[in-house]
Amino acid sequence: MEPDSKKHNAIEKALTILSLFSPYNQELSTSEISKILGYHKATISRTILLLTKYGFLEQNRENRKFTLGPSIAVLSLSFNRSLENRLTQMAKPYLDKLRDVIRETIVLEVLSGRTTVRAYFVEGPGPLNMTGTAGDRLPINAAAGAKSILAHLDPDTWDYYLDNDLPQQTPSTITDLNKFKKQLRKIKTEGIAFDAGELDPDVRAMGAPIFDAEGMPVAAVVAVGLAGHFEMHKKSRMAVQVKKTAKEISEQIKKAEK
Amino acid sequence: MNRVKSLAISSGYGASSGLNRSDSSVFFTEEMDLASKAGMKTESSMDKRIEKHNAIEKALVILGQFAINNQELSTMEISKMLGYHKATASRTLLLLKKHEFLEQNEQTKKFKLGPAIMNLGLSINKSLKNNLIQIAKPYLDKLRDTLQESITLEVLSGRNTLMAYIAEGPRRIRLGADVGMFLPSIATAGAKAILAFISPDEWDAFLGSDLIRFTPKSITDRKLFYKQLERIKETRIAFDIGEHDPDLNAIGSAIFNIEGIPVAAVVVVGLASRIGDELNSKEANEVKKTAECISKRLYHIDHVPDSLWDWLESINVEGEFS
Repeated sequence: MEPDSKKHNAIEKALTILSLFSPYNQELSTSEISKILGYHKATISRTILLLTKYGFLEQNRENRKFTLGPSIAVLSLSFNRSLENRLTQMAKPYLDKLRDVIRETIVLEVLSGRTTVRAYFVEGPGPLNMTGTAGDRLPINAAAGAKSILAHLDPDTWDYYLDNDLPQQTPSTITDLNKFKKQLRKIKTEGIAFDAGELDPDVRAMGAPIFDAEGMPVAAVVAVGLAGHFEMHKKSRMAVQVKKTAKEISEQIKKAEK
Repeated sequence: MNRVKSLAISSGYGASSGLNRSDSSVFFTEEMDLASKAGMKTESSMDKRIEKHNAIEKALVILGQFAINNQELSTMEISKMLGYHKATASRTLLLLKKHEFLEQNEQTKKFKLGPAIMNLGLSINKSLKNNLIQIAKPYLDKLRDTLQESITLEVLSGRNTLMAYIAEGPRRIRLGADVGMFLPSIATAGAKAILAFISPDEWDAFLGSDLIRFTPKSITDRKLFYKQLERIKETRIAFDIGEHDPDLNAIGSAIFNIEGIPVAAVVVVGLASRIGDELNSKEANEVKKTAECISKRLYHIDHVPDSLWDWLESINVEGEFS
């Protein structure tokens, strides 16, 4: 929780209250919200009344607690559809082909805010598979796709995406900001980013960036799989294929924009 | 600024007396059009007279503008659409961005929905999925009372039909099924109602090798079965006429989630002498109506509405349970 949340104005309080409703916190009462955020109960009641009126929250009649409401459902549907529509439709055939060539799970990561989102996910043919679905958000300092996108953004903007404390996911996660920036520079020259068990100790991934018509990195093609299947080298067969697919999709986007 | 405000009010209430046509009327017509597109016209329980909006309401109304297809909108466009002062719109948009409800295209400076919306979306979808039975139960119980027959909530599970909930009918002869029971069939009224709305490319995979013969009336011919599914897709009503038990008939209709995926089916099951095979029977109509109510409760959208607020009013399902 933000330390200055008590200083928030009315709008920020409303947004902070909404943001409390996570998949693990689906129902909250006024007093629970008050306890978590430290806002005055009267403020919360007034805010919740408005959120409910506009369909952002809904009250469960039995226990008087609140849940997210229909407006959120529609906004998220709209968000997901626009993610799918633009890039995914264009990239899909290339990603499916890549899966058939390298026989591993392929993910399309799309930059959204300060993290990346799995916009498309095609499972590898092996008996063991990576968990995850479209819509998952990934930490920007560990996911291969996120790293490959970040590396190709203007270094001046890096600090916007990175906090001073990079979250530790596994013992292999890079948490030192300077060390991480050094890795980003290397990724930019090699054109491929590796995740050496930085999200999950048993899982490896490699990703290459997709550029939009203006040359901005907006997404990444990522191959994910068990550590034993991956040769973590920029010249490995898999790395070459991943890079090739990312390039093909970028060219397709450029063509479509013309 | 007054001009814009009075305009939005008048387009909201259909009264033109408040209009002040002091200068360019061309500009006015355009704004009127935008304001009505922005969904300011429907008024009932929700008071959207914008001059009365406080800061929070303005933020929510602005977010609502992105609901229909997450179009990219500039500060100017938002300000025009809603009749908010440009400074107010700008301040509010930046706060929405700060909390990641919106994100900004750095090149065009336009806004679109941000990752916070997606997080909340994951949360609400998970909750709707996990609470399907609780959400459906009051509607199913009411249907049982209306029809005086047993009502089941059925879902597809592999090649089986799973009974997720049963509202036991009041008659002396009861259904020999329990909640959690699998029917080893893909041809029940519930399964057919659901399957009809799954892509035909996947039908073969769902069916497996062969359709099972339970009674002489069971449909075992694949072509015939697929033809029936196509018909169900048109009518939204599936029948089981003695196909699993010679004495029992059933009528089912699918429930859809917000993405239009058929997640379950409402089914009435009863003696063949009571449940017929007519599309227009009271039973068929009531089953279909109940499935539609539950779908609405899961925020299923039939037609993409022009405004979030119009849609909100349309899903205000029959007061009672919503």
